[in-house]
Amino acid sequence: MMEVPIKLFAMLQEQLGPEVVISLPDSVTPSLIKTAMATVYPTAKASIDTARVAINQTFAVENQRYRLTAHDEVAIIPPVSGG
Amino acid sequence: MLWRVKGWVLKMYYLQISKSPLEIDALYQRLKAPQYGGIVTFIGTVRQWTGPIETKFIEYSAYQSMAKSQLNKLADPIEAKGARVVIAHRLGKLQLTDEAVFVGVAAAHRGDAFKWCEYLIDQLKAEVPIWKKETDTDKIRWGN
Repeated sequence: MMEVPIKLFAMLQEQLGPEVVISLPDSVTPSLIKTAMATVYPTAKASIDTARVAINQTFAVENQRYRLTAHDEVAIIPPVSGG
Repeated sequence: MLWRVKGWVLKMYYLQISKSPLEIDALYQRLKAPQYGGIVTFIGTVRQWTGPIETKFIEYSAYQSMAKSQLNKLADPIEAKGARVVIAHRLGKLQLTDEAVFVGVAAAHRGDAFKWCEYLIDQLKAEVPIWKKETDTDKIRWGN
């Protein structure tokens, strides 16, 4: 397990702040990250459920496993609404 | 003008995400060049009414570094086809009628310019981490 900073945006940032640190296994999938987040922050579950995960500023692919290191930038991306 | 050299290809596209008001004419001027015969621009503005919902103002925020990277990924293949891309998105608090986004494509012919401009705004709205927080007369809404 490792302590991983998670960047937050939009309504999640308003609710929980710009960044939280959660405990994750070294090897993760996007849904595992979201489940871990929702377990630690159950009040934000609805927003986390609809979000995507980005690793190093690229959308992570569902069902793909990622081996995280201390240098990786992980973010939860709520449904985007620019334009 | 932002110049990016990648291998032998000189990138001409201009991408901007900032709190400054969009300077529409300056953005348009970046698209003009002798090799292009068609320029299509899309400008998204803050709308007052969405059905029965009345909007007072909108605040835009972004994951700026990723948004820039996503825009790069969108612009690259269009420019590889010989067109020029200019995209600007405004952040912060915008009032009714303010310009929120500018997407412009210059191409040799209008067909490509129309097609790629629509493609870019559609992709921006789906894949670029920018969010709007809408303050409406009844409540606050995130997103659409």
